[in-house]
Amino acid sequence: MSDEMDEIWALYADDGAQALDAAEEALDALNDDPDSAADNIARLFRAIHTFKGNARVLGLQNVETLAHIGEDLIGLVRDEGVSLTQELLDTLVLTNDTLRGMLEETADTHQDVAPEPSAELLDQLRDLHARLSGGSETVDTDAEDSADPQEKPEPETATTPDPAPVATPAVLPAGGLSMDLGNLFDELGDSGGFGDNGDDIFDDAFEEADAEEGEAVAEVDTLAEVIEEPAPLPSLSEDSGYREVFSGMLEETLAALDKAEPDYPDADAVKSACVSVDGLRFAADRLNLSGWVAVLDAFMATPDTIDALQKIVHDLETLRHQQLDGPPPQNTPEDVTSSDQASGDTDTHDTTGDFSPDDGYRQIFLDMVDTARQSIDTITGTWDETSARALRKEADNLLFAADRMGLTNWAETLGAFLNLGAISPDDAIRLNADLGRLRHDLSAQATPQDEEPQPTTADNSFFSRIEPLYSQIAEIGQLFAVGNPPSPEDRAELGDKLATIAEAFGYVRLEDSARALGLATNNDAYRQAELDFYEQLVHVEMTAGYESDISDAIPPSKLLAVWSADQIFETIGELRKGLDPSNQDSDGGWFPMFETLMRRVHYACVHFDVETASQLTMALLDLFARVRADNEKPDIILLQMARGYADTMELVFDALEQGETPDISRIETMFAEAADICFVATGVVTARSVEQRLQLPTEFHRVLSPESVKAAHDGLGENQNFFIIRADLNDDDKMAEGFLEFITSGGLKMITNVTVFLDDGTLFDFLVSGHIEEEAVVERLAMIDPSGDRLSMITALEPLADDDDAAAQGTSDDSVNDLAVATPPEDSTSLAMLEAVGAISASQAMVEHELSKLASEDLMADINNNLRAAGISNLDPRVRNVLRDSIDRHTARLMAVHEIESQLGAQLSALQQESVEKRSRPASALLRPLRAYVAAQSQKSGTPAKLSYVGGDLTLDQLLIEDLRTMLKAMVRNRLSASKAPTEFHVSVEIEADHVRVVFSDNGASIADVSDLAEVQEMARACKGDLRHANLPGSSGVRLLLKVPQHMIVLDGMVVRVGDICYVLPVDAIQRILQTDRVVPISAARDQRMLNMDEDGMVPIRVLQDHPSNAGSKLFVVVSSNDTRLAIPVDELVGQQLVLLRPLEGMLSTVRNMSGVAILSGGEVGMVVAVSQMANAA
Amino acid sequence: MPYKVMVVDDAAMMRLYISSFLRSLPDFDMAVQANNGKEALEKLADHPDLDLILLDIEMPVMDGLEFLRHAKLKTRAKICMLSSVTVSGSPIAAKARELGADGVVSKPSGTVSHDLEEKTGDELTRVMRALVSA
Repeated sequence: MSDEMDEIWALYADDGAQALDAAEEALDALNDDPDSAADNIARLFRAIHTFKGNARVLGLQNVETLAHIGEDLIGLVRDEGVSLTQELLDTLVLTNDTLRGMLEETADTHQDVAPEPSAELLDQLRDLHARLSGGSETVDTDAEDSADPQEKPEPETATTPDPAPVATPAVLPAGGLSMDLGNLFDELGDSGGFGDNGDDIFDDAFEEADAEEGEAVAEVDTLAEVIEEPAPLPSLSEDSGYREVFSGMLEETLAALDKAEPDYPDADAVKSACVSVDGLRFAADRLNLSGWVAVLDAFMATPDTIDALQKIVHDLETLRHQQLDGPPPQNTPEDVTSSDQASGDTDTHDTTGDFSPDDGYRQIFLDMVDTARQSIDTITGTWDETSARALRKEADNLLFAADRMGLTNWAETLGAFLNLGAISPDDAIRLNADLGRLRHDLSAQATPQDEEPQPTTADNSFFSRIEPLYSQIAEIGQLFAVGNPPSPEDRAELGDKLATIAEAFGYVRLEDSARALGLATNNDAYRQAELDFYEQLVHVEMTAGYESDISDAIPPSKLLAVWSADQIFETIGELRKGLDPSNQDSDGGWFPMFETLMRRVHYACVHFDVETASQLTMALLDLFARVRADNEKPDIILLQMARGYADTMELVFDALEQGETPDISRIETMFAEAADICFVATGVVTARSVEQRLQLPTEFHRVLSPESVKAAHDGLGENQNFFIIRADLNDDDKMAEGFLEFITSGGLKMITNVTVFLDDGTLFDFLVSGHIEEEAVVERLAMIDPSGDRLSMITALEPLADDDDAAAQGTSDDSVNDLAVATPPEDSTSLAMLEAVGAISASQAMVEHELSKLASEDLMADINNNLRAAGISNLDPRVRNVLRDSIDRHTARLMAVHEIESQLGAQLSALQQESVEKRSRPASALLRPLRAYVAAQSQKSGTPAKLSYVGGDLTLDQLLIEDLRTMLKAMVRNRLSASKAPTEFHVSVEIEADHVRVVFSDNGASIADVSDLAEVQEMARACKGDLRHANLPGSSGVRLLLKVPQHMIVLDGMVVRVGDICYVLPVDAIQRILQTDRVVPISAARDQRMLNMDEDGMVPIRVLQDHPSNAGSKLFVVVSSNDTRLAIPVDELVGQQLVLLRPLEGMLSTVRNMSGVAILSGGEVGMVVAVSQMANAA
Repeated sequence: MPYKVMVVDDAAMMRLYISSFLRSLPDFDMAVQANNGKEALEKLADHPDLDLILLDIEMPVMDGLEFLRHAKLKTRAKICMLSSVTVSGSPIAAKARELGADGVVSKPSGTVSHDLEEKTGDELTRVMRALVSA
């Protein structure tokens, strides 16, 4: 408590000097003007009386003794009518001077003076007092404290007034300072605080004050004409001294009640609570706090229930909030300690809301701070197991003083430090830095009294207030991270502190973020709130600027970046985990932490200054956020991109951590892909492609939406004209409406428009297209805007030709399109997985089909047949029954398995359907890059060529696109290397039932044999496809026909049954279905059976399988392929349905005339007929 | 009680289209409009009860991104970018996300998109409702 004692001593010195100054002024006045005796004697008495009380409080007996006898001498004049002689006046002057010397010495040494130097003066005073009092009576300065009644002055009434009850309201205690000091001293004393030991220290203090009041009252009674009207007792809001004392008592009472609560209502606990409350009630009564008294009395009436205890605590806290937690009083310290010097002086309120004391107290406090900081330095430098405790003590001492001084921000900082769970050397260093900053602020407030305090700027003040709390934010985060969540109270307290500061500056979202920090209950929520909070701080920094008084403080933007970088690998780990397919939430609630994690990666990128990566991160975040806004889940392309991103970023940060330069080429590619992905997904060309082909001015770059790109692409395809029209739509609504009508429904269509800032005006440039010519557009504009001021034709664009565009795009478009058609390494796994799903599904369907057959078989009938065949006709009925029961059980189990299998089949069917949809891509995704490839390759070979195509809007399986891409590129390379390289290529893609037909033609040299394209032929065979060639007439070129079966398609099929087997015939291939017996054998065709279709001629009959029913069948399905017709006999038309075709694999791949299997609607398997193969074989 | 919306767009025609679109939604009401960020900031003080701000980017005096920086501190109203330059995954869209845009929707046909309701109406409605109910 040494620092607090220092404060007390400083208070003693300060107030003592003021008292002696007042005494000296009174003595001077008496010396100059004896007529002023009444006034000045009273002033002199009060001053010496005050000084005496202070000395007594600090145990300065020798000082007190001298002051006491001086006071008595003055009392003789004041009370006994003794004349103020010059001798007496001189003696009092000497006494005052001596007391001043004593004051200086005691304030310096903090010890009482030796009695010897003042012994002579003391004797002189006693003699004088004896003489003036008219007898041999000797003044006993120890009378008040003496235990020996014989030493008390007689008669007591000579100097002690009638101790009549003090009237209410009580007069102000004459020894205001002594009372305050006494209470402070008592609170600090080793005897413990109020209520701790049942000793009513406050009571003692008031008793003493009462005694002195008694003197004052007596004085009033005696010298009523010279004593001022007694001042009313100050209220809590008026006097900071009372306020502090009472607040301290209240805190102790609440602490005592809190301590008593666990044992309540045990007798001891109740007693302890009553003692505490009674003490506070006494003080409240003395301070005339009727509201407090009423509350306390209510408790004392029925104190023995827990409800009563909780109510009194609640009531006291409410009163504290209402009356003590408000703005601190404006009184100066002088007001606190010397009520009769009360003035209108007000001290400064700094912008942080602290009560700033005057310079004297401030300096005392600053000295304490300097001492404490030196101690903290020393402790930190010699850290051992006792250091934390020593630091707490230092902080606790300072906190006490700060509280007393009303320095709330000091109290917050020190309180936060004391609340730390474990104190480290870093905490100590941080505390010392905080104290240094606070000291700087407080020191800066030491302005002259009449000078207006200069408020700091709002921004400085904001960060100065918020930054000291960073350590608490981090500490709570750490507790969450290690699985030791802080208490809700601690979290709420931090949230409240931060929110209060934010609220004071009107930063509403920051306030919300702060409260979210306080409310977070787990690590994820806290870190999310922490991120949001730091981001909001960055907004403050960016809009209001940043300036800090803390030398080592960092601005929020840097703090956020460092914070994110610190946890980057953990962040990426969480990101990868969330992106893992096994962690995808099937109910649509996709990866809730995604945005938060991506933002953290973004700020880590900022920290490491990898700008492209930070942009890519936010671009991906944007893409995913839009998907989430649509209540959808990201598609597989987006997910693959995000997974690739996470992998790449991990490598980048690995490299950065190793101090290496990361390879960001992949990031740059991904960034371009991210910007184009919305165009790729819609299957149209990219915005960049349109920009280049239309040669759009830069203001139209990066503004084309997918809708605009599609509109432009369509216009280009139709050879429309493109114009840019400038319009001023600001002030003429009618004209504006006419113009907009023209460009949306008047032969033109609007592609897009951009804002153009010209001088102070805002104009718009519209990109439009249509079949009308420029002159007609201009004419129409003139009709809408005759003045020509508001509408004008800026330019008629001249789009590049298609091949120019392809060449212009070069490899850049390849990269984009590769995204759609190529399967990056990550895709391979997924596609293989989808492929496996298809295989499992097909196999499962077959199993299910077999199970169905087994379950429907009549085994008993089969056994009977077999028995009869073996010549066993009379089976014992008992054996028969046993067999039947056994078969029935077996059949029942088969049925159960079949049912389960059917359910599984339906699920797999749905899964496979979904997988097919995910794998589907437009054929343009194959053909567009092929066009660019032709342009690039032909330029390399020195013979520029271009490619045109049809069939880009067909949908193909992604794997098939890959196969075709490889084959078509090989064809291009082969043909460009011919002796006469083609300058024109044309590719036509068609889907024919179960296969894809690609016709590749060019105007190059003829080829002798398809073996010239052996590489392609081999690829085609590997895909179960076929490659044929034909030289065009006149050696004008070559036509290559490539046919490959479709990988996985949804086929519109007619399901037919032949015997027990279902077949699927592509509806597209069916010409007719007829029931007829007009089957004729044609001997010329080796007795091949033909179906007579009258005017439609004879159609060869081809069976799907050898089955007895074929011979008698009258139901035929006539199919056609490549102008070849076939009639297929069937037993039954099951019906038309969409079926999922799977290619045949393994043993099944050798089955003739079948292109695959299909899972039928009931989960059965149907064989899909390859009509083209049958036709070819015909 | 419909949600109160501020529309910030420098194109009067676009404000008309947005206004018309908002009228089709019973749960939203256009409370105030501004033709640039500065004017919007000034009007924020008079409309503390706003629920949503639809914000263009390319505007004179103060653009939408600058307004976003300031408004994020001063209002709890959700801020949805509605601009022609915020194409999905584009650098501007990324910047808007970085600065804390609560939602981002692209105008379908440029700065003045007469077809806003037709082409983007559903998306914008979904985003607006998600934001105000968050």
